[in-house]
Amino acid sequence: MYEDVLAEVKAEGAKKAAEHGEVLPFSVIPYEKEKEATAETLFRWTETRANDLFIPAIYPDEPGNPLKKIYTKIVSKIVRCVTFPLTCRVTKTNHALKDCIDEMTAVIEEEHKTIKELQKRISELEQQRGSGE
Amino acid sequence: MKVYQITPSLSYGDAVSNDAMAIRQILQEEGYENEIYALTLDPRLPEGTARYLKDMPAPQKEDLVMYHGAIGTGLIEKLSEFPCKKVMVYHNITPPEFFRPYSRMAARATRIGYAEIEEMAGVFDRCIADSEYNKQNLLEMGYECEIDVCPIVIPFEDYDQEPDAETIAKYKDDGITNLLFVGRVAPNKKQEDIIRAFCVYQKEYNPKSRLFLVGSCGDDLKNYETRLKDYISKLGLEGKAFLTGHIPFKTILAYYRLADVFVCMSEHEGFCVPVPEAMHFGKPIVAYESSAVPETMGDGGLLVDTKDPYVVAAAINRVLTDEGLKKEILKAQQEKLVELSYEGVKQIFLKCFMNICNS
Repeated sequence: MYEDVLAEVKAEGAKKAAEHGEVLPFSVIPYEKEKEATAETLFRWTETRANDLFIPAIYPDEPGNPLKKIYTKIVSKIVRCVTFPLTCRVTKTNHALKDCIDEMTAVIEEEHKTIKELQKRISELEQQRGSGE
Repeated sequence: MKVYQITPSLSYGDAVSNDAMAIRQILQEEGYENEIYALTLDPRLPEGTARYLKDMPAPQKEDLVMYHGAIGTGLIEKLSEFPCKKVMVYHNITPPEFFRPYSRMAARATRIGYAEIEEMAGVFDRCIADSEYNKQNLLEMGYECEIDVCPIVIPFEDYDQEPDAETIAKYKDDGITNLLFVGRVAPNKKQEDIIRAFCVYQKEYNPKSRLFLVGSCGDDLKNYETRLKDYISKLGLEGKAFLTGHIPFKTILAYYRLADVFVCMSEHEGFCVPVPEAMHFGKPIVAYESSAVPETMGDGGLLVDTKDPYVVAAAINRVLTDEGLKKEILKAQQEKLVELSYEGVKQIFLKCFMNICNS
């Protein structure tokens, strides 16, 4: 409905663009890729999981028990020195694998799109051929 | 026959939720027993609006299940087991490629959602799509059942509430032209293209202008929001372009009332509710021609097929200064609003509903 108006604004826009040059594109603005969990967050997560698994198994309902306190400290030490470094390595590998899977998925999706477009085109050409004969 | 509506979540201000609640009202008005069931419920919803999906009784053969397809839910198996007629109300899912640069999680969620919708092609007896665009999307995914098109029901009477007085007082009648976009801060909405066009408009046409980008940002896309703020800063638009973040509904109403023009550069919309909202407030629209935006807007605005900021700025200036054009646009908007009115959409929905019952 507004074709004339659109043609005019396009012409006007082209003229101003030629006079004034490119506006800073968004693509030059850097950005942070999503943050991975901080080491502190990951340590707390690992410690909580370890406590949930190992403390109730030995001292199920004994708040204030001094042996339970010592045991809890030992578990925390083991988490800090052994479990946490392992968790970090597994997490890093996990993230790398996820990135890889995401990249491959993106490629596969693009390929799917191309295949669908080609199939559509083949269909159109076959129809044209069919009506031409 | 009882109608069970299933939606991933029911919350305030969400287009899918509003649609589910409006359908509930329409069916109640027509005498159909119906309930909404959701995986998550907004605690602010009045008692009895909806129930948790885990509390849904097993539908009988004569019942009808209406499933709102908007994100992945993992409900394929459950839906397949229902012995009754099943209909999907399809709202579309944002393609993952928009989220990929910013949030692996968001990209994965939408990819899984898409795959799920594709997998459900054989589950539904019929579908209702919000738009022709959404209908085409389903056909491309291999859906072979009948698909009707019915716009989203928009509760326009809610927009006639009093707007936030403080916001109105702050900006009203200050001689500054207000550009507005309303929508989630999300990469598919392309707020950066609005900012870029505003930069040109501000410098080349009207230095006494302001841009309001109204909408909240999910926690997983904060890096995108930060990038937009940096862009505003680099373009020298601080104090002229604003990202409002999450604001109350009455404040959104205030921004709509203050706006002189609504600008939309979104590259993916299943319907685009803010466009009819802008029409309701009598604001001329400049929008980018993509997805469902052209069919929702009709002739109620200027549709540009380019993101060139100079062309978009020229279009914005044109709708603001050409009184004849503005009048034509506002007239076309009024005609479109009749189509999208509660009564208008109710008639379309009831026709679709009869098709479902008779099929």
